[in-house]
Parts: sequence; C-alpha cells; structure tokens
Amino acid sequence: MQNLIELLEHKNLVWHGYNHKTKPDAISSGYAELDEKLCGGFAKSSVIELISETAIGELRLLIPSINQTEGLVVFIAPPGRVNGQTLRKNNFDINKVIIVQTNNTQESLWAAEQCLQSGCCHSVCMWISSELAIHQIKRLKLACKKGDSRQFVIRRKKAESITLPFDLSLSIEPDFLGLNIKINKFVGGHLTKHFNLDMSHLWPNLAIQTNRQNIIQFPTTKVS
Amino acid sequence: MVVWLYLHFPSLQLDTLFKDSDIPLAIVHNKNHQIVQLNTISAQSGIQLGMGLGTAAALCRDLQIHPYNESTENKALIQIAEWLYLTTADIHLLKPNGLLLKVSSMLTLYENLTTYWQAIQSHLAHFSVNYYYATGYSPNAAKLLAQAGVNQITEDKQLINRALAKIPLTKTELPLKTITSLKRVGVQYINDLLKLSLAEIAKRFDIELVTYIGKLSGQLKHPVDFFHPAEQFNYELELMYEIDLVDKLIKPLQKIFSLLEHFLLVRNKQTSEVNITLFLRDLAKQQIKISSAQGEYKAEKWLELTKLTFESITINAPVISIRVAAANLFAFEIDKQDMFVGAKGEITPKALIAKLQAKLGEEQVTGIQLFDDHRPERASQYCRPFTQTDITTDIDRFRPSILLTTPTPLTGKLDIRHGPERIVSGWWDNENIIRDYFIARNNSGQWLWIYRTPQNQWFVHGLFC
Repeated sequence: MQNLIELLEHKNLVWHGYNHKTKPDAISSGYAELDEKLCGGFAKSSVIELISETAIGELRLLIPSINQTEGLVVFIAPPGRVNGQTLRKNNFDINKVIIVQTNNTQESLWAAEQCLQSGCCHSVCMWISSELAIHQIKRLKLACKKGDSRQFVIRRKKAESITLPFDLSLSIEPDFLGLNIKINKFVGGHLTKHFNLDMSHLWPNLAIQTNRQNIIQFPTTKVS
Repeated sequence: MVVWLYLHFPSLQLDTLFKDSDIPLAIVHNKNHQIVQLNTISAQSGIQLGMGLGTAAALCRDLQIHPYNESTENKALIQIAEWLYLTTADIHLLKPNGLLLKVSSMLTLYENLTTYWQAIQSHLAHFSVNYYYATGYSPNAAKLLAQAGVNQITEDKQLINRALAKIPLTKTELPLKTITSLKRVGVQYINDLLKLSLAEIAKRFDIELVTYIGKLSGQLKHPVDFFHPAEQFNYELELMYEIDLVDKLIKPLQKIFSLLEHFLLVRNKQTSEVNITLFLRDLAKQQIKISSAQGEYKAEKWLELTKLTFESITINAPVISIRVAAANLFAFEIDKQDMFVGAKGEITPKALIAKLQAKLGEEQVTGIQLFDDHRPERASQYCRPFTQTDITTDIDRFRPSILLTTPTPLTGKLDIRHGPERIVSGWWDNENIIRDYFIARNNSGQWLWIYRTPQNQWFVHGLFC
C-alpha cells in the first residue's frame, strides 16, 4: 500500500491538499518566492502561458530559468531585436541562442513545435498575439514531451473564451519592486491570489524603493 | 589481346525521360520524320522503328511524340558513364549512345569475365535503360556485335568470330561507295571480307578499308581516349510532360535524390548544399538553393528540406526539365553523442536550423553575434546561427533585453529613473550618433530605454522586457 502511494506520488497522480511538495520534475525559477508557489519552479517539459504587457519584466521573470541550460534557447517572434549584450550579462551562452522571426502565428507555432520536439532545445519563448486553439497547445505539449523541452507562450491578453490546456498560466502586472503575479491555472497545484514577487535583487536598476502603505514606521522616541 | 565490351543504348532518350510507363511513346527524328525509338506499348500497337510519323499516328492515336535530341542523349550517356565509373575504370564515350569498356585491365579485380559482367549489370540496373552488349577483341568488333544486338559475353575468339561473320557490311561504318563496290565483287558479309588477304585488298581498294579491317580484326591499334568523371553531382532530368504544380515536382526530385544518395554514399561524402534548377517553358530558369549546415546524404532528408522550401515558392511557368547539382562535398562525419544520456530527440541543432531555414527562409533564423562597439545597434547583431563570438570582454553596462529595430518617437509621460548615459560614437564611419540614454518607467509600469538627441528629440530605443 505504502509502495503504491509512493509510486502514484512519484508519477504526480496524487494531490496533497495539506502541504506543498516539490514536484519531481520542477526546476527552480531563480526566485525563491515563485518556487514556493509553483511547488519547486517551472516543470521541465511543460507549456507555460504568461499573460503580460510588454516591457514590464516578463522576460526578466524567465531569464534565470532559461539561462542555466545546456541546450538551445529559441526566441520566436520577439517584439524587437533581442539584445545579445543583455543575454551575455545574464550568463547566456550566446552561441546557443537562436532567434526565429516569423510572418504569422502558423509559422510561429510550426517553428516552436519543430524546436521543442528536436530534443536539442531547452526552452522556447514565443510571443503570440492572436487567438490560439486547444489542439495547437496540445501539439506543443506533445512536442515538449518528445523533446524534453519547455515552452513559454508570452502574450498580452487572453484572446479566447475557452480555457486552453496550458500546464501553467500566469498573469503578471507591474509592481514597484518587481511583478504582481496571479496564477490562473496550475495543473496539480494550488491557485493563489495575487502575490508580489521581489525582483530587485536581480534587477536593482528596475525597482522603485517606496514606502509601502501597509507599513507604519516605528516611531522614534526621544530619550531625555 | 585486349578484350573490349561495348554497350549500345538503342533508346537512350526515351529511357531517361521522366514519364508514366503506360503511355505509348515514340521519339521521332527531326529530319526524315522516322520513328527512331519507341516503348513497348507503342510497339504492341504495331509501330516499328523506321516507320514514318503518319503511319505511326494512324496505328496508334494516343501516341506521344518527342523530337530526337542528340544533346539529351549525350548528357544521359555521360551520366551513365559517371555511374559506371564506380565499377570499371576505362570507359570510352561513343556519342550519342555507346560506351566502350576496356575489360582486360579490370579482370584482376573481378577475377573473370562473368563476375565482371554481373557487377556491370547490377550497377546498370539503377538506370533502367535498355541496352545491347557484346564483347570483342577490338573496339570495332565489340561495337558491331553490340549494335547488331548479339548480346554475348565471351572470351572465346571462335564464338566472337562466328557471330561477327554473319554481320552484313551495310551495318558497318564503311562509306556507302566502298560497300557497293565490295558488293559488286560478291563481298556482302564481314566473313567474306575477312577471308580476303589484306595485301589483295590494299591493291584494289583504298587505304581506309584496309585500316578498317585491321582495326576490326585487332591487327592494327585502335587508340581511344578514356573518360574522366567530374567529382560533382550534376544530374538533369527531362520531363515527359510539363509540370506547373510545385507538389508534383517532388516525385521526379525523389528519383534524382536517390541517385544523389548513392553518389555520395559510395564516395563516403556528404553535401551541405543542393542547387535545384527548374527550366521553365518560355521563361528564364529558376534557381532554388537548399542547404543543410550539418551536411546530409540521405535522399529522404533532402526531400524533406525541399518540400519545406517548396511551400514558399511559386513557379511562374510550367517546368520542362530539372537539374540538381550538389556543391560543397565533404567527408562524412559522425555526430558524437553522449553515450549515457543517449540521443534525446531525432535531430541535431544544425539539422534543426536547416529545417527551420528551409521553410521560413535563411534570414529569418539567426543567431546573435557581439561586437566591440558602443553603439547599441552595432554591439549586438543577428548573424548566421552558430557563428562563434570571440568577444571576451565583459559587458558591464545595463542594457535592455529587446532593442527596437528603429527607434520610435517618444509619446506620453515618463518617470526617468536612471541616466543619462551619453554615447558619442561612430564619427569615423558616417554613422555617428550623439545620444543621452535614460532608463524610464511610464505610468503603466513599462520600463523603457529612451534617448535624447542634441536637437532635444526623444526616442524609445529599447524595452526592458
């Protein structure tokens, strides 16, 4: 009996309501707070949605988890030219970064699928603006499994009314010290309310140190 | 004495044409409009070689006619010679439809004539062409026998002579005048000619006949020059019908690629680039380059890349012929893989890039290269994937992760958080910039990299994604 439960736990088929266990295939995202919420980090082969405005820190959120790799990192249809200097500064191996520019969503999805299932890519970051369908995400998921790779889909807003079969979906909004994150969907995990993620230790230049409204300064007393 | 083998291809143009096999086909000579080559289906309907075009058309109304083209046959002959060069060394081309092989020098390798002939036969089978063959002790004898369709492989001199004896003089290359005058004295077959003594002939006929007999019997030397193949794959396939759909080109290409595969395989080579030339009706030819950085020899891999490339290609006129040339041949390399990790996916990074580039275009799939330059757009540039970056200096400046391709004028209110950082550079190459860069955040929380020009104009240049 004990063995059976262990086996099921190992296969990620048993869900514990009482504690956050680290998922076996999770890899740290580089942010302790986020790791805790995501039971250890981003799963190794999964399709992850990131709903975010441009330039608020969506890529910065991913950088620690995509630069610690041995495979290729592919950027598909980025919103501008990916700057090698920034990647280099964040310890990327520049020779393993591939940029793919596409003319439409179909091409992007095709390129993503090819990269994911090739087995030589670690992570694929794809910017998409149009509507997606269930079967497209399912194809990406299969490709991830086949090539042991991870797909991030970055888009501005959810464009369709149905729920897509992402493994994880995050909505992020800007915050003074970093980001305000909401987990929309998390297979095999808790849904949490908004939480703040402090990214100022990695990006001190892009954080605003303010006095929080819910913190009251300890009164200074004069000792006479 | 040296043994020669002659291969005669009676319907070379017809056989090398890319075609469906169930159509009656015939090749017609341009000048006298006689049928010179025909396939089995048209032969079944009663058409014979030498028939006039009108008679042939009357016998079979579906008959497809192609004009005879000597240069097509010559090209096909060279292709066959290149192919045969892998099994036999000395080949002499007799354009447009004959190959003369020097057998004797190859017998040390193949032990005897039978094994040699088996090797040649199985090798020729790849081409599926009709041929007649014969051996002889002189080039002319072998040629005469093969052209007469004797199909005999033997070293037995008596057998050869017996076969040769029966051939009428009209089949020889002798001028008509000589043949007629020989006929008048009762000499009609080779046999009759060989019986006469050379001295007697020399007295009564011209020297050409004497030389011919000498060469035929092997008494005189018959110098031939041997063929040297090019170390490049170059194959041209003429299409039986015009193709105007890109998808339909795949099938003839498959045939060429399988030849390419064999060509590369026996040489232990790979190629990184295949050039496909489509010859169009009425329009200039169209070139398509397909490349694979890793190098590939397999027909299916090239076909896959070709299919991807063809998705984005339109042809403006029907294709009448296809040429495939392989450039950049290099030795076969084995891709090393971790023994314990094993092969995870199916393909290597380079093969993946080749696939992406084939479909999306070469400029769409890039890597990043860093340069020692202060201008942000110069410091990081897109390049071909896997171009080694040799810059070792550390980047200490804080830069955005995404640069806009062209800076856009700044609109809206911003809160400047850091800066300025002044960049004055490039006065030496006429792309000088004078800019003060700032890191700013707008009301919706976006982090932007903006700059001010000396004219006090503001632009957004980067996004801190």
